[in-house]
This record gives sequence, structure tokens and C-alpha cells, in this order.
Amino acid sequence: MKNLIKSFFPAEEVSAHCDGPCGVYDPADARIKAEAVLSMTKKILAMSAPDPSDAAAVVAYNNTMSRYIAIKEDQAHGTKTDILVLWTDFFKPVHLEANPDLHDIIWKATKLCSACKTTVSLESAEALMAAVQQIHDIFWAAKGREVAYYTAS
Amino acid sequence: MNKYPENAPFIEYVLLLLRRRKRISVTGASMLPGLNAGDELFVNERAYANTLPDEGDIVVAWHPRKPNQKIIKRVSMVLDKGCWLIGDNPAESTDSAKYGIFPFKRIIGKITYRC
Repeated sequence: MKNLIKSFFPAEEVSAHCDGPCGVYDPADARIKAEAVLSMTKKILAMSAPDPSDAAAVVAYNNTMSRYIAIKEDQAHGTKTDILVLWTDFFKPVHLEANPDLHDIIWKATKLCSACKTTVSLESAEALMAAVQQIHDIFWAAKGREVAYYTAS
Repeated sequence: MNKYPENAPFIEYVLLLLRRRKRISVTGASMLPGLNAGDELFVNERAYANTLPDEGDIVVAWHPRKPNQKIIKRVSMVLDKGCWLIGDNPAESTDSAKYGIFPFKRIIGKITYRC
């Protein structure tokens, strides 16, 4: 009886999913992290050192600066990871044919992640944002969709 | 300890006939060890019409990025604006750890029993 009822109501597939097999990728992950890198870089550059004789101010300064640096390094590395995952897992040979300089673009973008991680460079952080936008454009063109690039900040 | 759905009593099949339940089939590995690919379950899409999900509920929700894809996850936390959903098998789950809070309106229904 139960089987008879079931036969009238086919089960819809619902995914207990994971990005690996289901192939959900989005360069927005890299963009959000690259924005954090740019933001932290600007904040670090805007900091001014306190009077060395003001112990409390020195502690506060060091604490804030350390937090900015930690976030910048973490997010720069995350940006690199996200870009590399797109490169290794999403992009296929057919995409390389359409974008012959894809490897070079990815290589330069990930190099910029390293530069942003190890230095405090507004120029590198802005160049990284531009590289992420370039990857965004290639990615969505590869998927045949028009997705406007935007930033959260 | 995670709770898993039990085998359905006959009343669930009556509710299916009355269209108060739907049947779903699990794909993927994020709800292992309790739910395997191919497991069939009943879902009550009216479960949260007048009440919020409970922590520990297994729910069906809309995928945050992929249109028309439904996913199955467990409610880890109930927050002001939505739920934190996780897979029981975090090593093979893409969930709130990546997508953040699932708004209540994106949660479709509650798993009731196995069918």
C-alpha cells in the first residue's frame, strides 16, 4: 500500500551538497577578500604612531596595527586560495582557448596576493582588485552569463 | 547527538495523499553518516508557517547561489533573521560556513520521516 502511494508521488532530488561535486563557483569569494585587503591596507597607511611616552596609547596602537596586519595577511592568502581554486577546479581547456593569457592573468593575480600579504602597498591592493575584476569578467563570460561586477565597499 | 528521521507511520502516507507532505530523495554526501544518497524522506513544507525552526531540525532550503536547487542541511543555530545550517558531514558540506545565515524565507520545510 505504501509503495503504491509512493509510486504516485515521485521523490524530488534534494542535494546534501558540497562545492566539489556540484560545481558551484563564484569569483565573488575572491572579490570580498580582496576588498578586505584593500580596506586593511588603507587603514594601516592611515595610522599615525603615538607619542612613545604614552604607554597606553602605544599598546592601543600596537594592538590595532597588529589586528589590521593579521586580517590583511589572512584575507590576502584567502584571495589567493579562491583564485587558485577557480583556476584548478573551474577553468577547463576550452576556457584557455578563449583566454590564451588565462594562466598569466592567474599567475599575476596570485603574485599580487603575495605582495599584498607581505607588504603594505596601496598600489598592489588596487592592482589586486583590478585583477579580481578581470577574473570575474573571464569567469562569467566562460559561463555565458552577464553578471555585473560590483564591490561591497 | 544528531537525531535522524525514523521510518514513517502510515499517517505520513495519508498526508502525502492529501498533499501535506512531499517526497524527496537525497543526493550527495554532506548528511552522512545518517542520510545517504538515495535515501527518501518526507518533507512538511508547512512546518514553519507559524513557528520557527528548532535547532537540530533537518530542513530543505533553497541554495543561496544556484537557482532552483534545493539543499538539505541541519539547523545548527536559530538566529534573529534566519538559521545557521550545517551538514552533518562538514568535510563534504557547503553550508553556512561558506554562505552565512539562511534567511527564514529561504527555508522550505522540515524533514519528518523516512519513506
